[in-house]
Amino acid sequence: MTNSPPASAQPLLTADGIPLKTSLQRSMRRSKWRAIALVAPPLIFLLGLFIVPIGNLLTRSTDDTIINHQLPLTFAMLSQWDREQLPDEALFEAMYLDLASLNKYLIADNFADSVNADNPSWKVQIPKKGPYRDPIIRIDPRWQLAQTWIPIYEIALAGEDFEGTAREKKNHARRAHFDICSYLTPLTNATCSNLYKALHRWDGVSEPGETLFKALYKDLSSANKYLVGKSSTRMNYAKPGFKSLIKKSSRKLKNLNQPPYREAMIKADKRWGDVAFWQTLVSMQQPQTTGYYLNAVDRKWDKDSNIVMQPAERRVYVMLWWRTFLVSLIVTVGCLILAYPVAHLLATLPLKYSNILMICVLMPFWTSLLVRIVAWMVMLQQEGVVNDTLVMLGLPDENRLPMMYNFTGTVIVMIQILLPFMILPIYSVMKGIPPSYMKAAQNLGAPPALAFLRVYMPQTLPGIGAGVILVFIVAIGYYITPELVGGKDGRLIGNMVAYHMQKSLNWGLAAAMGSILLAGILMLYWIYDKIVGIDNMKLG
Amino acid sequence: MALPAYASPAQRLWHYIYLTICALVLFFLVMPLIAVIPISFSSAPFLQFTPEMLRFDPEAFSLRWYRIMMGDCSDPGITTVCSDNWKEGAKNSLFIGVIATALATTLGIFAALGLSRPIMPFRKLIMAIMISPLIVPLIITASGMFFFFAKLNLVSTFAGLILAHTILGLPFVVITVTATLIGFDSSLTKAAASLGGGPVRNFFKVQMPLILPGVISGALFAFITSFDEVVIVLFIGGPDQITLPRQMWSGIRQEISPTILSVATILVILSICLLTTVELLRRRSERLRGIRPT
Repeated sequence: MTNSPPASAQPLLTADGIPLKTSLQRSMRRSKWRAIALVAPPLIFLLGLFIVPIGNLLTRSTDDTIINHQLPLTFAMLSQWDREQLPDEALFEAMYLDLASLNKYLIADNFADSVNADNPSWKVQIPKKGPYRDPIIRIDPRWQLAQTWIPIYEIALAGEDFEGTAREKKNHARRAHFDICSYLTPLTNATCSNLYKALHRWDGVSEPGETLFKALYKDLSSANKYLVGKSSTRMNYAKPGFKSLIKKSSRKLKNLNQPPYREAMIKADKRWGDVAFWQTLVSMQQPQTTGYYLNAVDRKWDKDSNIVMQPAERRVYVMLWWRTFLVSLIVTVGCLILAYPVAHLLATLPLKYSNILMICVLMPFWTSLLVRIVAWMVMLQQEGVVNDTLVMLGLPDENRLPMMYNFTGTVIVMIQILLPFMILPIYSVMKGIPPSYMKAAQNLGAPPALAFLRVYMPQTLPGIGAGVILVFIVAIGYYITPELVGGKDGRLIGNMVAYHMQKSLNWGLAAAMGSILLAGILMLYWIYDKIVGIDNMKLG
Repeated sequence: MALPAYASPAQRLWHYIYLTICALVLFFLVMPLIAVIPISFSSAPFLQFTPEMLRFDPEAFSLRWYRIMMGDCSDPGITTVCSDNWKEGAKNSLFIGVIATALATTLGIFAALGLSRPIMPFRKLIMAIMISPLIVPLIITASGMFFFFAKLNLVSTFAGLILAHTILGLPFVVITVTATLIGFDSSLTKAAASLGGGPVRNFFKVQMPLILPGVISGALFAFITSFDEVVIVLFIGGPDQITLPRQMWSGIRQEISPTILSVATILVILSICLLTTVELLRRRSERLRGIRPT
């Protein structure tokens, strides 16, 4: 019998008498928290200033609240309409009140989903020349209480309460003008300067007088103009012509203050008698819309909530998506064809030669993108180096090739810019393939081409996969190069996003296109992660 | 790769074709950048080789575009706008680049240290978030930041641009520093701790010198990204935030003159210097970590 120690029921203890398990757990927990503490600052920084803004942008792609703020009453009554015949007087009246009256800003909780169309406050008319106090109180009696005004009063006071230079003070006060308006209305770009002034003359306790009500009326009227402008632009996305219809009628509706509205509105603009305009409203009723996404792929909702194609003359985006895909594909394949032999050469040459050649690959990688674009302009323009050389070699002078500001230019420049992204991953994979494999295959009788196809190439596939996806991801979101060298037929989806962001200001559509683009890229990125692993991403 | 002595004529032919293709591709990569340099010394206001230049006529070469770039407007033949914008742009780009790089490097080192610890919950997710600014197309980043920064009153300010560029530079630092930490021998820090050094002191005395090559090359990537960035500047920069790339952008779009080639030449030379630095650092890092150069 061996004298084995009895199986102890006692747990293992550390030197200071704490069970080993507890001690280990504690130390691991401490280590974990230390790691979290290290990662927290950069993570919070990125979440707050990068992830949140991107998410915020994406929500714009479905946000349709502005139109609900503009037409609460119309939308509340729209469900009673049969969508076939021209609407009756009640819906016309609702449209008139939504466009012309300020009541929607004055009624408490008027932006909620459940607008009460029977509420008599909707039909109270505020006379243009005043007095304003009594009608506004009739719309919502709460306006006569001082406490209703306190929030905007505080904003106005905060506008004055600021230390700094005269210019800073002025800016601060102007900010308060905007803030008052964004408290009262759904707008961020309307200024409530009348209220700002009037509130400063008020003491904050006494019953609000006519001056305040007059300022309220004036500021809301000008805010209403902004809102009409904004929402009619939105309506124009759904049906061209809506913007001019709304603009024109809101001018003429001013002189209209009693029913019947139906005849008068059709007389003011006969498009109100066109049932198609009313039917378009149905697709805008929800505060969240998929309209921008449909628009981004040339589709839209019709009156019966079916998805249909846009009219032929408004179809551009499918073609653009297709072109973006095509350019990315051509660039990726082009890069692959050009990169493969070079990567092979770099991987098989002795180190002292391959280092020099590596500089040729890395130099463009390190040079400013704009410098490379300028350089290509010098090369490819009508009077450029390439054309000059061709002419010298015998090309007739009048046949100079157009290679810049078109599809060809975009593709050539993008291939050169993205080539290092393809060479480097393939090179790093090829570097790890022992040359003896090819020799062994040939020793066993395979002709060089077969040995290459069956032995060498399959081993380089991971590098090819990484390079292809990387180049494709970068190419599909390209903006600068197509913008500068693409001309008309070299523009890609990235340029359209920029156009809608900066020029047409159709931010919903820009956000929708951006979301689709981002979704595609994230999917490719996920595949890239499966093939290569993001941890293995190397630079230079 | 030399051709074996027993190669057949067909193999020889194929080998030379292969070498020619490689030479052409490398030529394609480098040629545009090289071609810019002589034209920037042209005395004529064209973006092309003039016949005089091809004859090496000394009259055809001058430094006039460099003078105009430096804001010297005394040249009688100026047809394009001449201003201090290039100098101003270079100054602003340098200023934004240096601060953004410093911020990105600091934050990136923190992230890399945390991610390289043995116990780190959600490591993969956090790594993905850290790298995401590199993946999301710039145009989307710029649009998102435009709305968000407008709310924070950061549009048209240097602070806004610096923050945005910090975000773009961060992934580079995280990637390069994490890569140097992969081969890091953690017994070194334990040894330092057992010898009585505090965590901060140990970091600067033991870890930092070893990860320094990664830190520097990450910082260089971050700097070059900021220095070359144009989309975000176009979206959130105001009239005061003229940076070098923005000036080049408007130069390309409006009045393309050889001045822009002078700037390009300087930037090409700068990039060669940076490239050399990074290459030397990489070798030093491999030597320090005991990896034989392959």
